[in-house]
Amino acid sequence: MKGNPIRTVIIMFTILVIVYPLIPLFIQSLAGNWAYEDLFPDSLSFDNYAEIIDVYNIPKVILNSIILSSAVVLVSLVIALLPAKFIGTRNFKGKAAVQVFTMMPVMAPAIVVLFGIGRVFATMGVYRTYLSLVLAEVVFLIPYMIMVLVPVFRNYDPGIEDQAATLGLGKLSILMNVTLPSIRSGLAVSCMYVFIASWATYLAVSMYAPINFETMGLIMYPAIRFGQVPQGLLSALTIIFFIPSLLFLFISTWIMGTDKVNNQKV
Amino acid sequence: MPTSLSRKHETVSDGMNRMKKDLIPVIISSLITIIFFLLPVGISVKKSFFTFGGEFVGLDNYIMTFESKPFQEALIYTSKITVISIVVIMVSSVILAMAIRRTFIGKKLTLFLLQFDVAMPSITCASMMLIVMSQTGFTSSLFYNLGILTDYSKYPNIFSGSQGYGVILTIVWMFVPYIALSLLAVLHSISNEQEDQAATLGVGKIKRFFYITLPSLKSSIAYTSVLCFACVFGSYELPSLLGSRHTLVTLAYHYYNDTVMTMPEYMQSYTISIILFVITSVVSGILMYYSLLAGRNQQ
Repeated sequence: MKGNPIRTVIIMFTILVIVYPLIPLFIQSLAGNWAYEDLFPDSLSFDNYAEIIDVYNIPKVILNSIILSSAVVLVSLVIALLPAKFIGTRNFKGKAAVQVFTMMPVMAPAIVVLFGIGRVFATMGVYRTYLSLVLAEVVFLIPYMIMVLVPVFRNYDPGIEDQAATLGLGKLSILMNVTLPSIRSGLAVSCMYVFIASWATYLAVSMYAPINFETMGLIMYPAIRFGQVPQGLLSALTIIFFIPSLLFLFISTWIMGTDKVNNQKV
Repeated sequence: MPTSLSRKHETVSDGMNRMKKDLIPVIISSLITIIFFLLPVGISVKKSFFTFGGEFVGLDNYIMTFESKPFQEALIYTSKITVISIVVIMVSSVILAMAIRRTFIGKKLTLFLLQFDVAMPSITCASMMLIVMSQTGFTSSLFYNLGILTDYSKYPNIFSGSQGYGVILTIVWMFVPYIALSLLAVLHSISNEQEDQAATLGVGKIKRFFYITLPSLKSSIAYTSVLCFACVFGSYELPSLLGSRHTLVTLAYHYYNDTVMTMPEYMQSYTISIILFVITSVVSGILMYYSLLAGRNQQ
């Protein structure tokens, strides 16, 4: 950061702005009693975490959230992978129109779809089931998956699949051993986006989750909205809520990193 | 023995068959979009022309909605929050992307922190901002301990006020890293040749930025603005948790969820959602068109 003081100031300011809210949040989550007049709390402990885990049955809720987000990632990937490959590797008439069409759910406010989709689920006989929950999320997340994978497939050579086929590999085998490993980084990024987006979803879950199915979002929202949860507990809940999505970020960044290293070695 | 013509014919027909086979997943994905996106939008459109009892009322629901004070206030409030947020986000993102463009010590850490911010769910951000920036939060306490404030009531209540500063602040905090990272990727893909040539010809930094760098970012700025606009304008969690007034989305959801179905407000939830859809589509369409146009001019 030598040379340009303005740039240094901008970068330092950015780091400060990002990190600043996190520090009091962590301290607050460990604080027993933190009076307004005090800059630091009297004592630090994990009591807030213990209480929140006990009161909200956090392990079960986290498991629910992980299963839901993983199912959403998997379904989105299954639906989006081949269309993304088609759009990315081929030039055809109306390609721009197809891309705009696939992007439409991202542009529309979720509420427009969520108000009407209930009738579709009721007709299908899946209203407030696990399937309706996954579908209500997937419809908004497929475009993200396609949006990230299309540029990845632009640099992909479909010829290697033909070579694999001449060597006797089946279609599934080609997909698992040739296609997916070739787009590993893009796949990691797209899965990360979808997982984090699904993890953060509140409205679709509150409207279409089966009765008694709780996710972290469903617990967090009323805890903040109605202000009845003490700040120490709320801070602990907040940290527990974002840690899994951060772990997912770490994993996907690590996959991208190892991919880069492998490519450099090749 | 097959002739070269018949072999060529076979290759062309093989290609066509393959194209047809490859089209199947695209059709399936499109069907999902039609059934779970277009159809629900269509259902909402249809409902917006009827009473709850099923009586066709034409545009009456829309007229009633446009004439209602809560809708007018929500429209102004939503527009204000969206416009201010997007302008601040775009300007800050361009400045940040330009700042982290070149190599510097700590670049990896800076990029990681930006990604870290992107990974934060909106509900988490709302909770964090309340804990840190509210009247009785950490910042207020810090100012009090530093002697800047005499008591917490002197600290501006950004979450209860009618201006929506708390919502704007949180939206900006959430989106700037995401947009800056997107713009950074574009900046990395652009050759520095033109800028270097301009520099050797003695063109100043500000002129280089406005005449060379910014035009090459136009398309991406317009494109990311679309995503940003769609997210901010249609956001539910942040305005409902951090604002004291209704945006269009929170008003629609309030009418949908908290009113008796036979009340006119219930049907207004559908009309508001359709108005939201139309506004978002028109603005996104204009921005997308501008993005494509800028992209073509650039090429």
